[in-house]
Amino acid sequence: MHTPDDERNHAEAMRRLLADAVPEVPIAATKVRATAARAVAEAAARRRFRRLGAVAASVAVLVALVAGYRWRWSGDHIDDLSFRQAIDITRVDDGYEKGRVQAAAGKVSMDITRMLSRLIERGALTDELKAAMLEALDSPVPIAVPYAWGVEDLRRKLEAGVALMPSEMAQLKQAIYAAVHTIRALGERREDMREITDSICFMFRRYVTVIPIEREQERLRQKEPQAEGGLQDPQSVRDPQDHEDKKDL
Amino acid sequence: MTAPDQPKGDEEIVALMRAGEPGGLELLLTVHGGRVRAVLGAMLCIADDHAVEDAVCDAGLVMFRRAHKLDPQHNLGGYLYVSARRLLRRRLKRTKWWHKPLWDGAEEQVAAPAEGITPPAGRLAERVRKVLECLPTAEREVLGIDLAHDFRIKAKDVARMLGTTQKTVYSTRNRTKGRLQHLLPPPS
Repeated sequence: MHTPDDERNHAEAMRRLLADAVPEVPIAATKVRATAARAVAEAAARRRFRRLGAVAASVAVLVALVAGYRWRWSGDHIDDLSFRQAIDITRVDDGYEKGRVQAAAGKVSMDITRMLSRLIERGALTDELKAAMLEALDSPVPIAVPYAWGVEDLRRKLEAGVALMPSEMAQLKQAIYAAVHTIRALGERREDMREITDSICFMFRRYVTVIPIEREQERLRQKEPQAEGGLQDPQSVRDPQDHEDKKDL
Repeated sequence: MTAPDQPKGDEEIVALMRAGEPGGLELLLTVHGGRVRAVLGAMLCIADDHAVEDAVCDAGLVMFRRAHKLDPQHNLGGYLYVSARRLLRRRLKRTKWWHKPLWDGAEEQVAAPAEGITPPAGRLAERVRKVLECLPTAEREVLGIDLAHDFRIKAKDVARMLGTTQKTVYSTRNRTKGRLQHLLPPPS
């Protein structure tokens, strides 16, 4: 019968047997020294590489910062500006002249009203969006709203007639908040812009309150003459009774 | 590797290597390199001794680079063996030297010694070497790792290194033990 001691002795015997059969072959001292020298050289190279990497990274960050700082909207084309950049310019003037700030505010309102128009045409302007707009317009003080990217995509989708997902509606709501609050803040910050910002806010309010009804009526008014045979000037159409009267005379 | 004061030596080596001292690497190669080189040469049956030596030195360099990950409580010789084995196999595969052994017949090749006769030490070592050369690759792999770790490594760890199961390691160990059994001196 085997006991643990037997096992241990057996393992020890095996160890001795194999140790005798596979004797140690020391590595040549020159090779050991050469390997140590290689290790030193590698460590130095790694340090140098790390230093270079750090320098390269800081230069890249510096260049990016400078590039980011130096980018300014030329003011030539409104299409060069994204919604986000327009919001930024409207939020902090950043040394732009009045005309450009005004153009950026115009871009913000244009993007929002375009999207609202599309929604109204499709009858997809939800009460939630209307409430959001009115809440932003009527809040006692304009507040800074964190704004997410993606308005351009939303606008493109709406123009292509694609329905928005609930998450995209939430994104649109956030964009409306940001736009209204930014424009209100601009009006409060700059007295000379007050008139423009007030008119933009007035337009926003009309979009969510009055405009749908007026537009519908206008559309119906345009539709009726078309159904009778095209658009005609109401003044140019003669009354048949008048014609009869003339005949009698 | 088998010396009783090994843990202290290993701790010193790891401390030196962590400090970036090349002396730590020299110590590692001096203390463990010879044994690892011998086991590696015997277990992989490689005639090119320089390739084995280079692999051990390179494994030492790898350990020097990753000294912060080394655990001084573990067997440094075992670490060195496993790293060197991996490097050597990779190198041999790259140069297409590596191939599976075509013949496996350790049991038939090794004759059992006569009853009660203990062969002389030199001859016994020669016979053990012959058995080792004839061992199947899987058994040699397990035995090499066991030998490098001074038979103190768990089957679970060996299985993880070789990508096999614990049971396979147990059975492989038992088969190897059976092949070498008759070469052991009779128990007193």
